[in-house]
Amino acid sequence: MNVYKVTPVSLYDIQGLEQWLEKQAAVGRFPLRVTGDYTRFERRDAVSSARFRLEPSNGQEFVEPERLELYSQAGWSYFGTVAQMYFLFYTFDPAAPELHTDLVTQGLSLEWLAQRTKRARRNTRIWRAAVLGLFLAGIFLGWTTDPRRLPLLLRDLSGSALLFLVFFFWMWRREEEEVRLLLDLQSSLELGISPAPKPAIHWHQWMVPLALLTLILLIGDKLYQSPTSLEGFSRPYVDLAVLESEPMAEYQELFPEERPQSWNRNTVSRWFSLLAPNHYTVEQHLYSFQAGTSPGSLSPEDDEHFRYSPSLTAVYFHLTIPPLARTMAMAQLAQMELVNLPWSYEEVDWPGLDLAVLARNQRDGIWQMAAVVKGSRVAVFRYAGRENLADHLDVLASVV
Amino acid sequence: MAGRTKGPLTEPMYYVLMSFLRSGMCGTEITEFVAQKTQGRVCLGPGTLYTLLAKFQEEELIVETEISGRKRTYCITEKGLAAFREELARLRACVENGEEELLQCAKNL
Repeated sequence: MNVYKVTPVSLYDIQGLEQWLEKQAAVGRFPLRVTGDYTRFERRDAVSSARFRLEPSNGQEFVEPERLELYSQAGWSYFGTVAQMYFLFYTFDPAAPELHTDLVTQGLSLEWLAQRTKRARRNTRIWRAAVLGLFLAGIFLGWTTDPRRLPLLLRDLSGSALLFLVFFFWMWRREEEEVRLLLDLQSSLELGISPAPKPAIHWHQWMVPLALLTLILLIGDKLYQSPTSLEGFSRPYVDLAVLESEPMAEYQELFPEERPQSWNRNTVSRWFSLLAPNHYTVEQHLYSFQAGTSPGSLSPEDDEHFRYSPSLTAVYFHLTIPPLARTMAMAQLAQMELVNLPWSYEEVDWPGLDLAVLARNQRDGIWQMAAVVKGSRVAVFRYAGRENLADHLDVLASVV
Repeated sequence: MAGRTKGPLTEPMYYVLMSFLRSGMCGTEITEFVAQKTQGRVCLGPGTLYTLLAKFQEEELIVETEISGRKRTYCITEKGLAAFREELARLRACVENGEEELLQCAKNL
């Protein structure tokens, strides 16, 4: 019966991997396939005297017959290749001489592997630096496009991006440690110094589960963010119908036979970040019962008439660092601006609020924005419709 | 190792190079030669021997002369001989220096 185990030791930790395989043989598990991620064993009689040795393959696919002959005469058997880096040999004979009896020569035997590892490390550093460079370039681009939005990066980066960055740097650091382990071994052997026995680094076994966990969290976060129906949503938000002075209906109520499109659905999207754990965006669209009578509004119908259809996009969040509330509210307003419209901002006093800002576009007057802040609570609104948001500040203020 | 910048030959390197002085040798013969010559003091592991044969070939200290099945026979080159002589001279100097100092030490006592 085969047994699969996560290879808990890095492939760069030669001694650690050899020791681990010997321990497995001592409890009756003999390897059939060894990779950097997992090892497949078969059950056999336990052999406490088993010794495993990894020999660099020097880029060869097969062991040279001369090598096989020399090793075989000394009592060592060939197992197979390990990750195109090593040939694995083993012996159960306690009297078999060690493969290497000269430290300097053993160091020389690792030269190819050390060079290969250095090249791999250089390439890894280049692509990781490129990823970081792109990331920083993205931030720089955000800054140059509209520096007012930059504070939002704090909120947005403290979510899944932070998780990604933590894992990214953790992996980088671990890989550097692994590589250093091999290079230190090689250089000390070449100097004729016997490396001090080190306990194997067993963090490697957590790498795959951690990578999977990070991936699951990233996917989970994406799913969490995806818009869902507003029905049953219990957190406070401003109901667009309350703002409107005439009765309105949802798209499905008016046109039940038509398949609802994503743009006319009332939805909520949730976000998670350390700076704003309670963060959600509510999108609402309502439609007048009277068809095609408002030429200056939205939703064109037949004969160039328009059905009045206001919309409200509102972003709500509670900040874990309350002093940032004002900055974040202004940044969110800047984020929600429609870029092709000129906007004017007006700060107004409102009882009970730390900040109330009204923003109007100076072109057509349809689009308006507002931000309200109380303590750590922030709500920012973008409204399109006939109503004047200034007349509804009491409703807007009630959600913070 | 002569021709390399890593310092003098180690004992196994020295004896492996020495093994080619009389005639060509294959791996098994080298191991036997070293064990016999050093009366078992220097043990040559197969990994060490294989690495040295590859390195010596790479540095043109030895050259492959015959392949018979899994068995390969090597001979020392002029460069290899020079490397051996150089190492021998170094060892002689080491021994002479040591003996001189030991003699001086004995006189002082």
